[in-house]
Amino acid sequence: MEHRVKTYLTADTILSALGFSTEENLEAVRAYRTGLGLINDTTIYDQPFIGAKIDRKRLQEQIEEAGLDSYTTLEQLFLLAISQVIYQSGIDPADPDCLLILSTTKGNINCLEAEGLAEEAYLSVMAERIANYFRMTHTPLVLSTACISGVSSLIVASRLIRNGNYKHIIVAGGDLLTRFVATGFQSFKSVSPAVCLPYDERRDGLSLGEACAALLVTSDRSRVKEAIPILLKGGGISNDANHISGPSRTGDGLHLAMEQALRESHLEANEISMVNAHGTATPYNDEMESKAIHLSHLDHIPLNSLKPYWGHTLGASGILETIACMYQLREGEVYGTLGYESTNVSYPLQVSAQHQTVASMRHCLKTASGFGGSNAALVLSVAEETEDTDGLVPIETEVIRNCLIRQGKIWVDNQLRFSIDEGDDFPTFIRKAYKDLALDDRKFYKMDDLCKLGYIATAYLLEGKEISDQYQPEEIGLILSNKAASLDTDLKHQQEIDSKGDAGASPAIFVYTLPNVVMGELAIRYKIKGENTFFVSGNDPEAFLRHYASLAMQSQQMRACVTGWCELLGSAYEARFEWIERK
Amino acid sequence: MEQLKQELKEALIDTLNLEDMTPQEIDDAAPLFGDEGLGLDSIDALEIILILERNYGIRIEKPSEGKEIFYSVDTLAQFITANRTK
Repeated sequence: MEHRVKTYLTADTILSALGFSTEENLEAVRAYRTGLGLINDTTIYDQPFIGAKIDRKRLQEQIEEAGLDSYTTLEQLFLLAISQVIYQSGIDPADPDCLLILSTTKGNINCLEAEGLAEEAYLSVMAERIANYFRMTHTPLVLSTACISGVSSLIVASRLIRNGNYKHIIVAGGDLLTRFVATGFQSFKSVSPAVCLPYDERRDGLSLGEACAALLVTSDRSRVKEAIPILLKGGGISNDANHISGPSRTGDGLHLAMEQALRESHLEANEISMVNAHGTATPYNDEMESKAIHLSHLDHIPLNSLKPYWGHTLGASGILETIACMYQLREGEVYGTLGYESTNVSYPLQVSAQHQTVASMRHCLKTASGFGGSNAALVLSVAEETEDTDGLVPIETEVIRNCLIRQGKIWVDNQLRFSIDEGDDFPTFIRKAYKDLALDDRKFYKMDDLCKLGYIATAYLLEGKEISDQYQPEEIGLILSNKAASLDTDLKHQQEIDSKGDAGASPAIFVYTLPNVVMGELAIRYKIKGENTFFVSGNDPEAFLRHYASLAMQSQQMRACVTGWCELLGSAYEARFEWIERK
Repeated sequence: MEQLKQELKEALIDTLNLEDMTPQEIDDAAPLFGDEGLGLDSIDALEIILILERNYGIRIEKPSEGKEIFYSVDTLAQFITANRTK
């Protein structure tokens, strides 16, 4: 390795139902206090349910004090959290060495209720408003890969820092508990009527929460003010290639991500001191995790899920829980999984029910899994003065083939491959393009339009190529981007609940209200189990996608990758896909 | 019963986006789920629960309760006939 660099995690803050600072939040956790409670608010769900809401009155006081009235609620939370990170670390956000990465699944989705498709519904617009507030030099990155967004954002940040692209990256994750989200999860029958009970045999679903959490990833030791510095040692991102909403029946996808994270950290499973898992408390998720943890030989290691304290905070969860892991490492304590008694998962885990002290705590493995078959894992370690994290030198890559779809025409390697009559709308075009390939895939017609576009772009891109003969599933990755995220289907879900009521939400629509589900569909179709990362961006970040692909290839065992721009909203659509291989 | 089965097949094709399929092509006794039958999955099961609620006034709280009921159009029709409230 040509250069070595340390990626420190420092200067953190958590805004949640449990308080407005990390300290307040962890004090509550240490006292076994939950932020979950009965929510009786028909603007969120027409029946009372268990969830965790941020105290709006207290938030309003902070907003007034900071003069942030002109921003949306989620933006206000991001601004407050990021301000804390800047204050604690003393970095200059306008420094050209500083970048912002936002992790969110739904952003300002609540604006669809009142205004329909307003500007701020675009995640890139929200991100720019936040970056502009701090006069940041670079356009922020936005990651939206369902429930792994937070862990993925930290992994992406560490890769960019290890490559020397930036010195400081502020990583912030946030999502609100909205009617949009509550009705969707209720339609999946995955919300527990009580406080969620991860891994417990009585578990019957998740609890939803909301939060905003932020921290600094930096290579600059002088920014780290804590007595015990924490390093991000390595990470891995994978796909189950099994189902777009159901967890894998084998756990091999999550196992793969954990294996990657351990390999990159140069650690063996038995060197891990604790595992902080995703632990949503749905019957299938926790069962899948038990298999993955067993496959990774981690089932004898103390494990917890912190969902009973904050609920599932979606795009915030990975960052919020990573912050909690930093403190557990420093304190030498594994927090208890509130409410846990006994388990019925296939492979018994060492679930920590009470807070317990662990001697010589060194390394913590944090995992997340989500819709679209996505999994991510990272390793945090107590920093030793002697060790470094490997630097990253991008792998040299080559664009082998490209595919462009625009206005009813499909080009492959700049040759017109397929076109339709002018005046055909998107549904007609995409159906004809599908029929022309003579494929027999019952799943195609069930997809939403964004997935159909990505599916067709990849099908023409890879036409005649047997990638599964050439590569193992874990050697292939998916790195996509667009501007509208899943707004096209988001509007449909909103319309469903507006016209049919909260109980009328359709699971077949809601499952597509995440842009990374496109990658989930492609992973299933082409047996792709490697990296899957979705960047939401105002413009096609063509060069960045290639750069990131080559970094991911260096960091993971990836050897080939589909990258691309996959944009669809209403009648407008455009896809630009590339098949990239290692040189 | 025949009319109910026809109605069910139409609802399945429409709600589950079974493009290019006609009610005649769905065998009353064939399994709806898994690879041999229509290849429906867990999201489809949730949509069928919604069909039962909306069209026949039957509530099913947990998808796991529906396993035997959702086996085929036959089993679904029998269950609806015995339990419908509208």
